[in-house]
Amino acid sequence: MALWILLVALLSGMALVMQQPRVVRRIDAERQAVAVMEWTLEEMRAGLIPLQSTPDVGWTVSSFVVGSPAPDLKVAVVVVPGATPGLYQVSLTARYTVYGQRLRRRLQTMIWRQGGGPP
Amino acid sequence: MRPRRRLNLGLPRGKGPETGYTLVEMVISLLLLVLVVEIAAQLLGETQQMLVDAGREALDPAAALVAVRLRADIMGASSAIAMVKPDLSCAYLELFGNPPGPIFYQLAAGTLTRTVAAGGVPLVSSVVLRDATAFHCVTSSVGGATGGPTVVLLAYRYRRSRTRRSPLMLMPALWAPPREEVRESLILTLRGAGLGTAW
Repeated sequence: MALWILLVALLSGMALVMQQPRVVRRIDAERQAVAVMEWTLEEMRAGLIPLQSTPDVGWTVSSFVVGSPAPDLKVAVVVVPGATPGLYQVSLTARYTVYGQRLRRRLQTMIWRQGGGPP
Repeated sequence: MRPRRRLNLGLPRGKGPETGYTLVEMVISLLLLVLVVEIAAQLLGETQQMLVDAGREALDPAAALVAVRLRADIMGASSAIAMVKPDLSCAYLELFGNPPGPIFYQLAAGTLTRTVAAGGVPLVSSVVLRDATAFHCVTSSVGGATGGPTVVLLAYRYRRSRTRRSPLMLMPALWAPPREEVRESLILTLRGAGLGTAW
């Protein structure tokens, strides 16, 4: 009986400890997704990429860790005109996979673009 | 039925037939003892390994804080100069608009340093990122030097501890390198002089 209890405790502890790599990769992927959404917004503000809705911006993103496979990160953009002329509400949604689990992060902001809004 | 022979361990004999231990009982109890000792040794080894890992990870660069520092300096700057070496790595990134003086970022001897200068004299120099292996910087603007907002594109690499895939003590042939290289990129727009009509 004592051995069974010990076995169950060891297996439970092992499951907890083995979560660590998964947690690290998930945090890395989330940080990368936020960074890529930030790129997108900054380049939209600077006018390097057009301010318009798209299902995928088309970034080719390499993995955080050198030598690891590239993530399947896709960033969708939705641009909606605001109440004030020249003001646009921009929503970015990043979708990516970590160890087979589909994850999503969303970022919203407003961009002022006089006379140069989405087509 | 013939009674089983008992192992004589020199203990005082009792009156009942259940005194003493058979050889099979002794072997089983020894096996259980070996199993428990083996599990305890494994736990001890893994605990020690995790302590070593935690100590190593504590020395890793705080990547999120580095990005925050870079982001704050770049967004606060009004203009920037990115000097590139012939091998396309960054000689230094100079950010203007900071009240004390320009801020320089440069990679030297595996360390990314941040220096605040005034009148051509360095005032404060601090280490931003240790174990850095590469630093690239480029500035870009849509309408040229006098056009739209300037964008700073940064890419840097550094080494950090690799997370162990399993806490189990593996064969040396299955060990992965203890460190891994990470690359991060930042693309930021300078805001120190305002963004004009593109904020």
